[in-house]
Amino acid sequence: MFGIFKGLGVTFGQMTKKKVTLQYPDVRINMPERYRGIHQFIPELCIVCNQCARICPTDCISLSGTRNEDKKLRIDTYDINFEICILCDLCVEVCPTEAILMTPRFELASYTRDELYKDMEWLYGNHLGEFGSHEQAMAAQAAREAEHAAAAAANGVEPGGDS
Amino acid sequence: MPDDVTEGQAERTAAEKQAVAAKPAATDAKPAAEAKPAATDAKPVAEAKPAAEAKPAAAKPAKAAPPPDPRVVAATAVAEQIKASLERALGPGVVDETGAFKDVPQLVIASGKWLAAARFLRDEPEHAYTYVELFAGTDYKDKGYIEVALYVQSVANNRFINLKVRTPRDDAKLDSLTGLFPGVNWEEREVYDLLGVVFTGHPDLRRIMMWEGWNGYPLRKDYSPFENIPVKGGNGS
Amino acid sequence: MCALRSEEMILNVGPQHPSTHGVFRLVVTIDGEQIVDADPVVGYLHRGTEKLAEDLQYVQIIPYTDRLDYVASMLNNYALCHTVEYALDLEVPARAEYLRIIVMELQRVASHLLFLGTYLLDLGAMSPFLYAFQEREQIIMLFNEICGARLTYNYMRVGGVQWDAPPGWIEKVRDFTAQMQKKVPMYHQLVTGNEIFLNRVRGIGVISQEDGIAYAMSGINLRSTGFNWDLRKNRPYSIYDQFEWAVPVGKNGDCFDRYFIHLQEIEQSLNIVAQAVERVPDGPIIGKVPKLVRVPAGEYYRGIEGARGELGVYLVSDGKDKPYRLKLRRPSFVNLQILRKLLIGQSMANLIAILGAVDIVLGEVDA
Repeated sequence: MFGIFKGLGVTFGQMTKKKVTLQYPDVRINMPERYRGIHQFIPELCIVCNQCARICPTDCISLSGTRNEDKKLRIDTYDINFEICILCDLCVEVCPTEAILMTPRFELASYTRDELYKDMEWLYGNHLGEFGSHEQAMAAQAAREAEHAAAAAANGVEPGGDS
Repeated sequence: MPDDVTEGQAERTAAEKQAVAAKPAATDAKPAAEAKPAATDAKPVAEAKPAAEAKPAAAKPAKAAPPPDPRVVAATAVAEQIKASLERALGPGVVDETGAFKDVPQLVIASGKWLAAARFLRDEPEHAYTYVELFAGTDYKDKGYIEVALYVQSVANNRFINLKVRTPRDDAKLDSLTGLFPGVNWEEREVYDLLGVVFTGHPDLRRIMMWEGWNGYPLRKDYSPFENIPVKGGNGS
Repeated sequence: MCALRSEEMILNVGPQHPSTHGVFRLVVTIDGEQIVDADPVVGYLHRGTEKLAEDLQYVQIIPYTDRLDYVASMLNNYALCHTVEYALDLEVPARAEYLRIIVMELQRVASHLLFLGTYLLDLGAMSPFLYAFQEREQIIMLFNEICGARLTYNYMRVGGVQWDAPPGWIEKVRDFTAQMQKKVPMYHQLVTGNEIFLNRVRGIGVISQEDGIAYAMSGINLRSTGFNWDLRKNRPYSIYDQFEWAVPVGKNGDCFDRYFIHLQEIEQSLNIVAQAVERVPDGPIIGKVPKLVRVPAGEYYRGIEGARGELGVYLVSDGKDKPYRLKLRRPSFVNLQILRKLLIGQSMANLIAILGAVDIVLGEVDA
């Protein structure tokens, strides 16, 4: 019976240790910068090159655009079907202008399947967040990055490099 | 199988071998160091031209390539050795074709001798190919046959070879290897399920991924999810 | 033997059974407590990955491989990328190789921890599961930082890896490895000596070496029979030959050996990671690969040592940017075949102990 008590010793030792669980909906897990959550889309940057739609392994992106008077392509519709999107990041990888990016948000539960079909407005809203316009959102992001770099420099870690 | 078919297949291997050597250099990345001499060939002709040149040298597929990959040459020699040994034991006509891809020797066994050849290669201590690593079927629609590949390792001699066998698409039938290697039981069922090769002598030949009553064989190249609508509902086993 | 006449009964274990770790159905015929026959039914999770792959470019197949053995995605990623690299004779930059080794071995640790946790949970021990997941969570968070996903990593690419290690990541791995190396004896203390556990797994589900080879088993199931076969040593790939580590081998081929080798492999994997983090070189993380990978026509097979056995990719290419045929040699699928032989004659209570120790993941069995 000795083995069992040895095992129980480990269990009792655990009692004094810190808890590792989180009370999820109240306390949120802090997702890292690279986290591949649901997308955000910035229509201002899109050049309608269709690369994201082509690389998508599940064909969940559909988009359309028209040519302006100044010969530039403008995006008209941009839809992602999150029913089949596998959040693989390939669309972000191929985007030449970083018009499509991924956010750290991951909660997508909804009551109907139709709600998972997200249009450009919703994806743009993901980018804007609480900010009113694209410029404000970008400015806030730049500020956040500067803060991050300053914090990293204070810790003695060079931003962008490692080891 | 008539002789001219065999020859044609040998030519194909030669052409493929050249493509293997020439292709990486022809693409803009030039990743392979050993294939660099072939870089002068223009991209589109790189595949077509060697095929024509290879015709006189079809008997020795590996040597026909301009920069002979030493691994392929060595592996082909091993395949030839095994072929000679097989023909000594089981008579001529056992091996349709020999060749190699990279460092893996490859033998195409005549479909009638599939079981006998596999048994010989397993039991003979000189070969002792006992450990099956891969059992896979491929549908070559244009060539009209289904090919089953068996990658088998000889633990005692530390050798790794690829045995293949071909069977016509419309009447795909092969001897089952379950008696020799119990480990190919499910693999054969999978090939039966997805490619429609009937393995005679298999103790339990049922569909494994799809349910009984599924219409068609999904991994065949002419399978269409729209035409092959399942005819009846499944009830598992 | 028995004076009383008993009647055989057919019992369905699964498809929805917590101990089958997925949708796996086992039709057992029992005579009292004795198993007379067992018929595994698989295919409930068949997604046709092989068929889908025929219509996809190589880079698009990588996310699909994540979903095969979904508790060891890094290894699946590697199996595909490695086969394509082998076909192209591509050289992978040193830094990418090191990052790959680190994530692959951490993944192996995570996968083995999951096995330990769930196996002991199947056998009725609750707390090891919690401990195992605590450590596994740390590994998953490390992966989350490097590639932005917790389970479906999509991290590797043909010719290298997609993301470089973020600042401070290597140090985090080093800290975790050191901490985890100290934790392994804790598991031995917690479980290995436990008499109840030993009685349930010792001498149960014995696989003989001949059977192991004949049934084409691989990985820990094969090594537990005393057969030293690890593709990292026997057919070296990547840079495994640059590290010092051992292949743990069992003696009896029973469930206890399989459990014990899992723990030993965790130690060895941590060993490799500890050596690798010390000498990660600087440099590019992806080699010179064309944007659209075209594999030269031919047939290629490469097997790697996955978490559950030999994980192989058989690739037939006709020179296009999509594979002509992609066959995945899934270790769980092959290993599971022996189950019927192991179960016949055993008592019903041993069913879960044997099934759990074969260590299958249904995403991989059904592909």
